[in-house]
Amino acid sequence: MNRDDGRVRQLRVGSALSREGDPTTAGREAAQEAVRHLQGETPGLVLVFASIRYDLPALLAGIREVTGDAPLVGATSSGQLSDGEFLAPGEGVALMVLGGEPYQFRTHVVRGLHEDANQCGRELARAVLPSPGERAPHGAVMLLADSLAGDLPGLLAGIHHVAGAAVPVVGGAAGADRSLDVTYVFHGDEVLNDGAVGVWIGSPRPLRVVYGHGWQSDGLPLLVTKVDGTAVHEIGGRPALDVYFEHFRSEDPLISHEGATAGYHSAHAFGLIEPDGSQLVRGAFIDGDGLLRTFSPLPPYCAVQIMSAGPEELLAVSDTVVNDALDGADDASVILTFSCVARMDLLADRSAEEAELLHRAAAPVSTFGFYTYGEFARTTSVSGYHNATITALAL
Amino acid sequence: MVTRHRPAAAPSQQDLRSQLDIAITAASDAYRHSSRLIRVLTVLGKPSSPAELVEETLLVLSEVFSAELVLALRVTSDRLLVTGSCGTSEDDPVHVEGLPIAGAAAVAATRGRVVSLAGADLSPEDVPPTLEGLVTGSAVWVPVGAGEDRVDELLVLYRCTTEPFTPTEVQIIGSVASRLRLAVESRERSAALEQLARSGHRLASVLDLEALQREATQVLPQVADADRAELVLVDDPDPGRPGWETACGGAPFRGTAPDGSAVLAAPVVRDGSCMAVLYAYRRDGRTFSKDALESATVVATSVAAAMSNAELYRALAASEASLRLITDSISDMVAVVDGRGLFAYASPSHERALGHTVPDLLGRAVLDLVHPDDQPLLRTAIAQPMCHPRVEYRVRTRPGSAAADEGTWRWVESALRPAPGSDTRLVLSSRVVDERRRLEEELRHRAMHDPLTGLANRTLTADWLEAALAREADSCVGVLFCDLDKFKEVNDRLGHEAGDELLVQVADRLRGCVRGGDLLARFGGDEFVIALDGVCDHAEVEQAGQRVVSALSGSFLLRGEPVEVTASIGGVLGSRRSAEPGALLRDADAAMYAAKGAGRGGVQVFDEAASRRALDRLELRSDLAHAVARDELVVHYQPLVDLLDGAVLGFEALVRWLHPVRGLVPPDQFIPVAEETGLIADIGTWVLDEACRQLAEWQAEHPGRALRMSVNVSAAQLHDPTAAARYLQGITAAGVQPRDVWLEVTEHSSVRSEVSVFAHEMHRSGVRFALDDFGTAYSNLGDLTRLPVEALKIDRLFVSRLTADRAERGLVQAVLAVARSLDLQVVAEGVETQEQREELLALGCRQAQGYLFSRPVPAEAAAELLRTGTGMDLVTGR
Repeated sequence: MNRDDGRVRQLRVGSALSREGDPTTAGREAAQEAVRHLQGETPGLVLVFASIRYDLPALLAGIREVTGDAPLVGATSSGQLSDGEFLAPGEGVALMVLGGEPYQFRTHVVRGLHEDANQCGRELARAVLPSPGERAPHGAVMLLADSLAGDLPGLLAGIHHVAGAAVPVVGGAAGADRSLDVTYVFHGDEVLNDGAVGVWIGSPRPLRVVYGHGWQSDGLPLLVTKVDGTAVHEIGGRPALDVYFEHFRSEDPLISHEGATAGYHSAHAFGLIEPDGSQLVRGAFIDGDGLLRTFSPLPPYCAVQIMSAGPEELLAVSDTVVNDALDGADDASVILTFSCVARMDLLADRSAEEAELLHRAAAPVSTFGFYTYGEFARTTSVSGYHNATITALAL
Repeated sequence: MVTRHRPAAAPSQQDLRSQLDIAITAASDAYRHSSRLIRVLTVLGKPSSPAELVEETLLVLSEVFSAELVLALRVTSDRLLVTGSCGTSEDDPVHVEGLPIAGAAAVAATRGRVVSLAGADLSPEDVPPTLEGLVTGSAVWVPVGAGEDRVDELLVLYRCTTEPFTPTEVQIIGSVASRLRLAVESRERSAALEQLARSGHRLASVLDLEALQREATQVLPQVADADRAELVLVDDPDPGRPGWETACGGAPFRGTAPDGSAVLAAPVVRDGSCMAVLYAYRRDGRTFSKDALESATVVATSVAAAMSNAELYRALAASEASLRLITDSISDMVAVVDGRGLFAYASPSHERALGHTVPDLLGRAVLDLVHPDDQPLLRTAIAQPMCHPRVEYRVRTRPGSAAADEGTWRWVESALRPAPGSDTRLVLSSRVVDERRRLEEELRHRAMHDPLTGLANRTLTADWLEAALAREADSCVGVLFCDLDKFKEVNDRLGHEAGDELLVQVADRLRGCVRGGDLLARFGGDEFVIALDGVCDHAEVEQAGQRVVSALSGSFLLRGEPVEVTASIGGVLGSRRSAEPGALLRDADAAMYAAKGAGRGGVQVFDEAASRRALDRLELRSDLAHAVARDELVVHYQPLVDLLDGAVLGFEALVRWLHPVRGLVPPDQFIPVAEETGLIADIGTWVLDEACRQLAEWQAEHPGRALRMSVNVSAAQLHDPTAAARYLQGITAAGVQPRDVWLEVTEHSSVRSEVSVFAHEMHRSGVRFALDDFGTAYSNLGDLTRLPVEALKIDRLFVSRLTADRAERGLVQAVLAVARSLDLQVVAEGVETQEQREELLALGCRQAQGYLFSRPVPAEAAAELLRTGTGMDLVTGR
């Protein structure tokens, strides 16, 4: 899709999906189609979200045959969406090219997340933020990270330490078609895990990162009294698993998908109670040893509620998220979205509806994004790591 | 509006749903507050460097208060310098330029009080440029003092919501701010000492003067927390430097440079004369502490030693021919050892240092002289000098020699290198390092101990607990966290030196009550910790806590004045192999909070139930913060009657809390919490307003009838300098006459001078005072004349014994006589029986309250009493 009314300089974008089996061909064909929409403008940024089934270096080579040295960032995913179309996990690749004007793009990649995520965040922010003299008046950082490399809240805290409160962060943690073996991020022609890529998006107007989840809290707040890393041992002084199960709605069986983590119960999650009373969703699963675990550690002695969600509630936020994202962004060409694979799992046979609803609410603005293993939306305070949520930014 | 009794009807489902919502909101508020406090305590207890500690604490504050920006600011004479931040960008000019001392920050910094602003009250000068373009809805400035009422740091939080920070939040932030400061100070001290122990003596081996200057100017800023340092030789004097003359005279100097930087000068003295001066500077003007001065002196001593050695070695390099002469004269011992480990050459300095003459040594095995424990080390070093070029070991002195006066063994440091032109021979250059070892030992000790009391510090305690918990044994490890109650008052009243003296005396007493294997520590401020090794159960921890209570029970003599001190003590029990030192200390700390909350001077040991109770109390604290806003407080009224005919003369207003989940919470549970958290000011004002409003309503319904309203005022309210104005405003706004309003104060709250200031101000405006619970505290008749009291209330205890005990009767008679002589009214409280009523009437008491007439009742029922009377007028006792 392309929008250019000729009066105000709007960002030109073009997107394409491919289900082609051969990686080089899939990359080349998707890139060719996407670039056509730029009407000759050189791409300022290439976004690639791909199934992990591909030979990824070959896929990127196919794309770069078309986009050349244009900055390229991306991640493996667990499904993609583009202008209402939905690709299920394992199906293919989604690609978007963004022109330059009126935005400023700078990209950087860091390695060693596992060892020190906070330091990685700092390095990333220092590298992508232009010096104050060259910096656009407003901006945001788009972040893609290996989701299995550890402390993603720490990565965000590192970026926040360098960029400060004025720079919001949006993005998602890479997926892998529901498997939890390995996830990758892309930068230029590089494919790497244990790393993160960041894009500074300099803008003439303030950029607003938004999010929504549609999860509802069930029952009374609880105090998590014993955690050890990602394992939750006790809630309110009682075995965590007992308390967790007591809050389950009986009609929700354990959902199991091919390739998904065993014991993952996507219909329920922890809601970390925020200072304003709202909840940050934290997905949970039961590991092979029968331990209740979260995907990222819960702070010790945090207050939580058990949350649940059904398809209707999840889909209802599509409208809100789009409207919030477009609020104050009348000139937007695209809404970049990062939605969680847990949402897709809960939607089950209605998985494709989220892409349609987002598209309908946003039209004629494009929608483009991928299904993640964790979402980033740092807006207020230092925290901004989400689960089972959809985060978005309109450009 | 106040929630009042509703007609009984089955609640609708919607009602139930909304009640449930209220309960859930209340519970999540409570959990959030508890969770906040615990999360911050956890960070403060974690081992980390001072910088990491500040960073992590600010990060957690941002997270738990949803703050856009958290700033730790140092107050200097003209600016606020940023010492820590969460929410600024790295290139934010605020890091270099700081902020002006203006607006709310100026109020907080100069008056030393917390300022909390929200919405339109926030003026542009209150918001730093960092937040330009972001929404700032509320902010709080919390001052942190360096003592003596001087504020030198501020902790500031900004967030986008326009809801102001609540009193509970402010309290948590305040407590975090002062604890953060203590923790940073103690870690800075440890870090400096560690640095000194690690690098101080290394200076002595730098033999090149330029390298030495470089090294010294790198080490000094680290150990003295300075921005910059320099080493100035006396041959190269610069008269412009502050303290130059003093330092050249051999005395250290602390002062300020003309540009406002703080200056520290330590003389480098050799053979009694100053060779150089070591300078350190702080740009922000913070004065150097005594600790910093000591550290600088130690560095200067090492520099002096290095300069001596450097001179000698320079001479050595200048002339190969005079090698023997020089090696003979330098203080280091030089020896050549052959392939069998025997002395082939030894410099005469061996005799000076160890007492062994050169002929004694030649042909003797080096290892013969070495302490058996250190022999393997030296043996390995001699075998592989390339791998062990430097080694430290103990050498025996010759019995009877002058060197032996220093001890049988002396510590020696040797540098080993192959002798030129030989494959088997080694050159050992050695020197005695007793002094350095002693210094290191002392520094190590100081890094682990509190300088004031000599007790263990946090670092040592954490190490000790780690080791104790790792040991295999059937028993457990206990921790007691003791915090002195009202220590600040002693400090304020008698000065900091007296405060320090008190801490030393407390430490001495505590030493007397710990067992042999236990560890006694001070964590800074007035916090003491006792770690108990080998305890079996909670009862044993509790007993140890009680030992502390009794150890502190006698008064302390400070400046000739006896001072009573109590401590609030929290205890926990940890199992070996599973408990963690940080968690134990944190839980003991939280238990201590609970002990303080339960009434000072008590011991609270956390078992699981106690832990829940503590949490419960924390919940109560935060629930109470919202009680007024959520209309959970109600006022009940107990009539004050004429004993003769039962006519209602007025009412005493009594606050009740209808908690959505707990039901009716008794005042003796929540009033102390309200006093502790400062919420009492808001609650007191609300009760007075409500009671006055009610009085006005009743007076309008019963024109011509003299009705009065009594309201209780707690000590905390009386000490609030703004209380008088606020109360008078409430009275006027309700439209009642101040003379119809009685404030009831208790005896023990009425003795402080500022209370009488409050009382006189209110009294001048017409408000009247009654002394509550008369007879329960020590009765000082002098107070009666000092305060504008117009009535005494005889405590229910006396009334209850009145008919049984002649002595009580005599006491009541005496009170009535005193009252009459001072022209005071007397009200008897707790009248429950007809006999008591008759006895009181016989003694001449005319006014009373009690269940005989009515218990405290809601406003509607009180209004009914006003209309129909208490029913007592039908049963006159005479």
